[in-house]
Amino acid sequence: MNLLNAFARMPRVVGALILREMATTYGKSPGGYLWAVLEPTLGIVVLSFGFQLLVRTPPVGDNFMLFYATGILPFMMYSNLQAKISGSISFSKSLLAYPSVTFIDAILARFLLNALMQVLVFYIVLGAIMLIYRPEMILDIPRIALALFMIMLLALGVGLLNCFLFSFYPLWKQLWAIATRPLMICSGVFFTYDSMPDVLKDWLWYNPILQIVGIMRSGVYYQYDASYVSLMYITLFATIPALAGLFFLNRYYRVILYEM
Amino acid sequence: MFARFRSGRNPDAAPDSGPVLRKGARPPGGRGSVRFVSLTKSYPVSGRERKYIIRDSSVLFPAGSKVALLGHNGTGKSTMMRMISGAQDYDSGQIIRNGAISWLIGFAGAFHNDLTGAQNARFVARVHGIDTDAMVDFVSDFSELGDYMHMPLRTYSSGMRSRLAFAVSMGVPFDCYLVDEVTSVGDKRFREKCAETFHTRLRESSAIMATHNLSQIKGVCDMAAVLHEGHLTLYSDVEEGLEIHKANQRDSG
Repeated sequence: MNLLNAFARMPRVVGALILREMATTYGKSPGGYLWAVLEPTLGIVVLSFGFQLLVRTPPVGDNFMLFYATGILPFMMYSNLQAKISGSISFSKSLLAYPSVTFIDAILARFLLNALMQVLVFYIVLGAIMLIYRPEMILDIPRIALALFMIMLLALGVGLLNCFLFSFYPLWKQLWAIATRPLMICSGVFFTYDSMPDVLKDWLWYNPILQIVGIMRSGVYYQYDASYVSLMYITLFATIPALAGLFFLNRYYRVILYEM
Repeated sequence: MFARFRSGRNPDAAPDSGPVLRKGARPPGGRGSVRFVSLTKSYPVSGRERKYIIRDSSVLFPAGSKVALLGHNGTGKSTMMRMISGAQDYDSGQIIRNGAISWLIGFAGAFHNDLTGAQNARFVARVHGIDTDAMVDFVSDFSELGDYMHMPLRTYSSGMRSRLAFAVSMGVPFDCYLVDEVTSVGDKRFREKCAETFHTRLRESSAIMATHNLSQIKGVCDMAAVLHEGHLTLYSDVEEGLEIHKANQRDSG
């Protein structure tokens, strides 16, 4: 009975949470939830115009905008989703007082809504670049979809573990912010893995975001070959924290709610 | 897990060691009952000591009964209510809830300030699988908020807030209602209306109430649970429970 109830209940509760988040985020600014898409889109556009002045010729292809977008879009998708998921317990804290709402609902709702928004941002930015610049490119949709799927999985995994760690060890939040600050530089947004010296390559390989950016670029550039990518490595890097996070959250989320 | 199945569905389930119910009442372990199985909850106080709110207690709050939870300030009544609702963790043992258990009646903390009263009511309806329009109709009729139903919650006075919260709580049919210190909402007439609606709800459901309001205990409750020094004892006679509670209070000064 409980299991059947859960199957009927979960979509309903997750749907309600999604509607609520849409209604309350950006609720006061004119345009409302449109900003959830506009903000990251405009952020990427502004940044890329800035970098375009510095870098004239991209390492691959002939269009800097396309090169930069294929790096920054997965990266932003990761950092945005990871931040949203790791904050989901504190975001929905008051709602968890309803016995019908579980922490899984809260996390799932945040993940689904924000992943959808990020895909929309991706679609708009890449579509605009293709329309405006008409760069030389292939469009390997399954490969691009694989990259998007992998980046979401990674964000979910790291986000789940951090959701527990941030609430349980507040100091970890500061350390994490410091430790991941150089992440954008070493995730291959501005360079390609192959153009790096071997010493750096050995280290950079362990960055799963860099590998996913590689998958993304191999789906866009015919001359880019991401043979260094290990899907197994990315999957493990995402699922192990995800399982650990789920395990600890399941055990301790009530403690986090009322005793931290 | 299977024990829950059985006690919830089998009408011939053997009556538990709890108090004997009147004829015609449903099985004590049926829908709306809450059972503690050797439940323990403690929290750390100065040094290494731990203060026990409840220690290895097994109690059945029978289905359909209205239990007054008695205990002086600081014994952990609110913590216990949150544990029953499933929001707070306990150290060991088990809480078996049968049927839909409410959140704390009148709880307004989950309302969002930027949403209107109607939007907040709709959210609660969606979460609990109730028709949203019916919910909004019921709430706006009951709370008498008028046009304010469609204003953001931040424009509400605290009285309007609690009226909305109470109306929303009454809009969801639960098998067991949890009440922590009933807030007096609005004027006398409105309070009477609240009490009346709550009474109708309780005809079908059980309730566990943590309150100091004597007239309410005597008017609503048919059982008393006394929490004292880590022990929870159930009395089928409210008066008896109140006597014990008073004696406990005298003892602890």
